[in-house]
Amino acid sequence: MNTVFVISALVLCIGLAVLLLAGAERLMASTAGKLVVLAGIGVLPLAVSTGGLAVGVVNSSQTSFCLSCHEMTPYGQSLFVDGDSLVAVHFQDRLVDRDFACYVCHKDYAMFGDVRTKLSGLNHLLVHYFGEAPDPIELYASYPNANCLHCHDDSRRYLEVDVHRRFAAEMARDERSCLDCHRSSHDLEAVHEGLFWQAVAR
Amino acid sequence: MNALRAVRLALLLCLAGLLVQLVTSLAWSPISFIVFASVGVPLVVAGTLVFIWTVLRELRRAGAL
Ligand code: HEC
Ligand code: HEC
Ligand code: HEC
Ligand code: HEC
Repeated sequence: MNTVFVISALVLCIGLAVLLLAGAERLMASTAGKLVVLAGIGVLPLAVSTGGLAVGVVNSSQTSFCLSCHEMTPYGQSLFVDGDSLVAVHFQDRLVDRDFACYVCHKDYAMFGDVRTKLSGLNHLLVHYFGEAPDPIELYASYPNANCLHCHDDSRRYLEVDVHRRFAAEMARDERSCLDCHRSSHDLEAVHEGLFWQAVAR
Repeated sequence: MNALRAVRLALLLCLAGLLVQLVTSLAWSPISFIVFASVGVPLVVAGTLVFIWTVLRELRRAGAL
């Protein structure tokens, strides 16, 4: 839908630019004409480019986008495994928006986090096309508690667990990881064994 | 460069940028998004800058600035 909008706007801008190119001589002779050229050359194309970038950032945060690279396939499959791994539970119980499941757990939540996440994504792209992914793939930095706390921080169910309050300060400083106790995140073993949960159609 | 040629150059840059954006939007993939952002958008920005520069130069020449 958004992509369709961007494409239509681009086609319109291209048509306009061609017309302006043809009429440049006459238009540049008057002030009004110069303003028309300014709109067709600066204002509209810049607005469309910005819109296109914004749509691209959203599209490139979608689960389907992450899974367009084969290196990510097992992680995508791990959304569907049977068991109590964090990723499977969050995805299957719809605790995260399924369309953005990978992104909400893996983006950088700090300031300008989206930009930094995209830049680090650029690195995945370079490795994908020009390098070789390590096997197994590893996180560039250990998983930050802030990403879990972004959703859980002051939620009642989280706060009502004693140990969470006891270790709150340590966890805020990343000296103790959520994953120390909540162990399995992506259950790749279950993926290799083909242990998937199947919703039963009724 | 006279003003008209500069404006044509600006329009051509802008047009090229928009065409790159169109093609990469139609064939959406990780790599095409990079091309959209690193080639398509800068070309449009370059076109705008050339146009603004031309107009300013003309204004200055006419004594308006
Ligand atoms: C519930 C949050 C969550 C979701 C959803 C999620 N991940 Fe993860 N992911 C994690 C955590 C936590 C780790 C760190 C595991 C560790 O350090 O043991 C991780 C690790 C990874 C790693 C590094 C390899 C590894 O096992 O440490 C990759 C690659 C990865 N995830 C990709 C994905 C992709 C692709 C998706 C979407 C299909 C996804 N993740 C969805 C939480 C999540
Ligand atoms: C262009 C193909 C491609 C796409 C698209 C892609 N990945 Fe990756 N990803 C890779 C490759 C290749 C690696 C291994 C990179 C390395 O180890 O240097 C990787 C590594 C990772 C890692 C571990 C390294 C790190 O960043 O800490 C995570 C987490 C991850 N991907 C998550 C995601 C998420 C989330 C998305 C979607 C927003 C995504 N990937 C989209 C190819 C891709
Ligand atoms: C995008 C938001 C979001 C993120 C990110 C997220 N969670 Fe959750 N998680 C939820 C929601 C919503 C629930 C259900 C409500 C609840 O239990 O508080 C949930 C439930 C849970 C549960 C209970 C699951 C069960 O079996 O009922 C655990 C444990 C958990 N999350 C741990 C984590 C950890 C660890 C991370 C970081 C790797 C994380 N979550 C990241 C939203 C999130
Ligand atoms: C010292 C171990 C420990 C650490 C570290 C830890 N947890 Fe827990 N967590 C627990 C225990 C124990 C429970 C209760 C399990 C139960 O009741 O089944 C729990 C339960 C949860 C629940 C589910 C609450 C409910 O009632 O459904 C969530 C959500 C959760 N933890 C999130 C997190 C997040 C996010 C972090 C990191 C900031 C974290 N935990 C760090 C031990 C830990």
